[in-house]
Amino acid sequence: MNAFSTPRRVRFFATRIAACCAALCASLAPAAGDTSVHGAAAAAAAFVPRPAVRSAFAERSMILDATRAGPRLVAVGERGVVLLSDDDGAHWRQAGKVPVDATLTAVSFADAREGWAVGHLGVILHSADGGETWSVQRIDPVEDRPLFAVAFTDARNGVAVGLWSLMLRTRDGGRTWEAAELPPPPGDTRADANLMSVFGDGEGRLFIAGERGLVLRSLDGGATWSYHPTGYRGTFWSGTALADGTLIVGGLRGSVYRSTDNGEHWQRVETGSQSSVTDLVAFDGRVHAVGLDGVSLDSRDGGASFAVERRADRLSLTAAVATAGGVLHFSRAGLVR
Amino acid sequence: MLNPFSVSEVDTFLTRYLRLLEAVCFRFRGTILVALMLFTALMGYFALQLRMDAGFEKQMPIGHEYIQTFDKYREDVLGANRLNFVVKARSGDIWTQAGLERLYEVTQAVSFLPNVDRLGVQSLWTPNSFVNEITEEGFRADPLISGTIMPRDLTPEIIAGIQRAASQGGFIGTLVARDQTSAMIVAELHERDREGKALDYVAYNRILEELRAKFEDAQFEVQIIGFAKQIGDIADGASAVLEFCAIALLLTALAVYWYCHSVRFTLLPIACSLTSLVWQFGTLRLLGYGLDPLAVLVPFLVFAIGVSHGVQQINFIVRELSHGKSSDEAARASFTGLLIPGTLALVTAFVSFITLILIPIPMVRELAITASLGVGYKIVTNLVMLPLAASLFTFTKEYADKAVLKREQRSAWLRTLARVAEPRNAAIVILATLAVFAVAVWQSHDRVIGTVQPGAPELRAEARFNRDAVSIASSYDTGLDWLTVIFEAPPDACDDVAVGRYQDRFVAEIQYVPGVLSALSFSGQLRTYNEGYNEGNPKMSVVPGDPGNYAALATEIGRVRGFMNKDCSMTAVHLFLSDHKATTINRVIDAVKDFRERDREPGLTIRLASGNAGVQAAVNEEVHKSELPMMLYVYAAIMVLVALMYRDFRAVVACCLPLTVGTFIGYWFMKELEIGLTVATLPVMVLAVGIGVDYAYYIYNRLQLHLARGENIVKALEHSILEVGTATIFTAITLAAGVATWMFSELKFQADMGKLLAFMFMVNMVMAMTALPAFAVWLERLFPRKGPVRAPGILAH
Repeated sequence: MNAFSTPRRVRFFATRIAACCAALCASLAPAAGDTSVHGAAAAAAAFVPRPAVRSAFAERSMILDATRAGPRLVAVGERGVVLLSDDDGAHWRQAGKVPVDATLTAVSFADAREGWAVGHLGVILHSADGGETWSVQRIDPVEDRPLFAVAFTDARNGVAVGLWSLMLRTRDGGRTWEAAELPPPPGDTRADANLMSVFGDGEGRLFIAGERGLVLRSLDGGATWSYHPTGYRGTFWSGTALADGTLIVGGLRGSVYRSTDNGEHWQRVETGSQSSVTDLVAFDGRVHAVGLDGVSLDSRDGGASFAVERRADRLSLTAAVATAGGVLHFSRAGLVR
Repeated sequence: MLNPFSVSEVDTFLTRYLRLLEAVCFRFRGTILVALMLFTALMGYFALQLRMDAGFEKQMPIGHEYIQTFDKYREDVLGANRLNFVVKARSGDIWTQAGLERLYEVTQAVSFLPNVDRLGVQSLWTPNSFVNEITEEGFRADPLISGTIMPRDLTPEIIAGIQRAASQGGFIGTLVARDQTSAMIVAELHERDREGKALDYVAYNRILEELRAKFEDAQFEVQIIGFAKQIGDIADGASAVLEFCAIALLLTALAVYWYCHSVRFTLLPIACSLTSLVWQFGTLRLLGYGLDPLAVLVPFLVFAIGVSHGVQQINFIVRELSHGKSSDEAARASFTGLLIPGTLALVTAFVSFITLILIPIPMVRELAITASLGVGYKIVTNLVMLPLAASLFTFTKEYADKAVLKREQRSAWLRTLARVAEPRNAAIVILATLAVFAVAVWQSHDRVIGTVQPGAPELRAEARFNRDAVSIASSYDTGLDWLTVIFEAPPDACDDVAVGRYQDRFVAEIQYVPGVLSALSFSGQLRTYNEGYNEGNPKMSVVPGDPGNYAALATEIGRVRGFMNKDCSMTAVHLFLSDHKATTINRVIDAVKDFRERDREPGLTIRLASGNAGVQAAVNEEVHKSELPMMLYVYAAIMVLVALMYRDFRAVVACCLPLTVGTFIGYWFMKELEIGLTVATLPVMVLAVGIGVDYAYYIYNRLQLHLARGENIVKALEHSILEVGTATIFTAITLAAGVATWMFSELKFQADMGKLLAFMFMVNMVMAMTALPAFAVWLERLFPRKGPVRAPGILAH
């Protein structure tokens, strides 16, 4: 009989527990003068990140986020793959130089040239040439606390967020990144919720969607944040703002929440889908969401209701980007045509 | 004391002993024949107990790098001896109450099949298929179908839930077809049961067919594939070989009768050939072997060789009779006249078979031993028993005259053929032969090693097994053919993140090699579990960078068989391939080797290869590696034997050159007909050389005789061709027609072997009748003899 045959419940991210222990070991090890400890530090010390591999099959890599850099499309994904398209997604090529093969989870461009990509190993990459070449601005292989999202409001000011309320801010285009301490969420003693998505509404407000149904808002470009509980208990993976200021966040098991008052109050939108939402895009008055099991949701009424579609092959969709020809989907298996 | 370097001494020696042997044998012929009959009866008793017998493990090359890997980790990785059952709805999809109920029933039935690893059986219904259910509260691992649900409880809602769970758990393409019309049950077979008794695949196939018959009906189809099914179907088809042998036997008998117009002379060679077959089967049984379905044609080959030698004997006896000799004298003359070329020919065939031992695959070695035994027996049955028995009959001179006359009428056209001995014609033939040789060498370049077609290469494409195989391969990602690559690390490597990262890099590259359908790996499992433990978020689909976290997930992965051993010093990557064509397997193997050359990680080793494709790759490599040395040994043996007999380099060249041309034409033929070099076809090629040289021996033997009588080369050749030409051409055509009937076999490899053999018989005959005389003439002209020609052992008649 298999150990899995009885249902088990695991409350926390396994990552969290194990990594906490490892971090503890690592911090104790030098103090005890014990060099034989096989902790994170020992393993990480020997670990030198490698540049991403150039592959003829890069288009088939899992893509986790995509965005616009002026006329160009930039998509990032597993093992440091960065894909570029200059014809609205008809043809793609792999970026020339990516110095790290860590999985990249998010990408944001301030304009056609300046862009940032974040991901595992806490890596932050910067490109000043529209995504052709990238350099490392930050990396932390010891702790391996992944970043899940990044947003730049202009070429200087940006925020990156990740595991256990990791929040990094820059005001100089990423030359320096500062860790920002968040206040604990209401009813909690410390800030440790995972922050999965960060986005702006174009009016200067910044929003973060994350674990335990949390939405955070900053009115001062990311300096201070306030919590705006949605009433949801699960995790939001993605969020976006419509041109009219309507906010949509989506996450676990097809959960979609909507706010029309800049995040003060939230209403659940019944989508009829049980599949977790991985990405949301708003364009031309439409809201489009993609999710696991090949599900995509589309709204023509500002996110009040959604039409559900499911791919026959149930291939999990992982990212979407709006183009002149409609929405482009990305998946576990890369580009979806 | 015999001086082996003195030509005349050896000749005298041989001649004297041949005479002595003849005298002894013919004096005691009654006793000898009775003894042989008794021996036949005894062996017949054992031969009747012979059974079909197949084995998976005896196909594996001993000591090969890949097989060592396979052996070392056979308990830890997916075994190569799997069975896949698929329940397929004939209309609609599998997501119905009836469909899932049928799947349940078949799953139960499979679990209780003998030799099946019960805990390893997997389908939607087994507890080892579970789904990570993500909820707002956390994460839950549930069996795909709850243990409390029975088929009768299935409602459309529950079925929809199962369907969703199957999709979420990643079972589409593994346990459920991509088009959702079927579901799979996977089972692992143990070749030996608890008592250590070996699995009888032939009997097992019947059990599988019973299972199929029970659960297949108008609504559902049951597809079964796997080695056990494959070898069982082959064995079934192979038993039909008896029919083909019977047909071939009949054809041969008719042809021999047409040739000699004597019932006795027809039955004699056939009876003698069958006798040695009985001995061979009896010996097989005594050695504890069974009849391997893949080697079932070999006895027939041995029989064919026997007939070919028998006809030469008949030919000789009839000629002697027509010279006015009594039956007894004619039989004695045939005995002494053919003992040397006959033995020479059979020893060559014997050596050809023995060289197969060079291939370290137990099955092939078994074949080598049994086949060479069979050929060895032929020396007794065809060269001794046949003339002895023939001497008991009385044939009139009229019969002989009539027979010779008939032959001469028939062979009138041989006079035209014999003109090949004229130097000008010979030159043309030589040039033509060399041209064909060049083309054949060029065309046979890049021959295929291993099998060329997908599915079970032994079976025809339209066979049920191959139709099932194609159907399954097209609907599932985890095809029938997979290659397992082993990553070795130092002991206690469960927190060595470098292993997972290294493997992740490997998979990233190797999964795109053409022919790889999908990859299941330890590192892939790490990513899947990491994602699962993090609410199913694809952004967490990475090999954990933290050793503690990594180790925790490794412990989870260790619960499922097939990805790692206990301390993670072995982790595995399973590459599922589109087919097992040698080109596909080689491409993947080369890609793996290329990766491990380019990307090295200190302390970690990438080892090839397990899985059935790994075994196949090892077999292909061994066959490929052994082919040239085997051919060289066979040719060397022929050269040594010819050189010893005739002590004349001209003989060596004249016999071997046409044969070499024939071999390469055979390769060309194989390439054109997409017949790969395999364990089945390699013996055919080697043997074709062994049989082909027979024709050369018989012709060259007559040639020596005529030259020894002082005839010039042109005349001598003409006489030789006239004397043995009919018998040779006749034998070749008879044998070719006999094996050509195999083309209608339901087993593809038999059909291939039939085509190849029929072709090789004809090619070697044509070469012996044209190229050999042509070479002989020109060798004689270019290197004139200084002394007289000797014809050892051949008495003046």
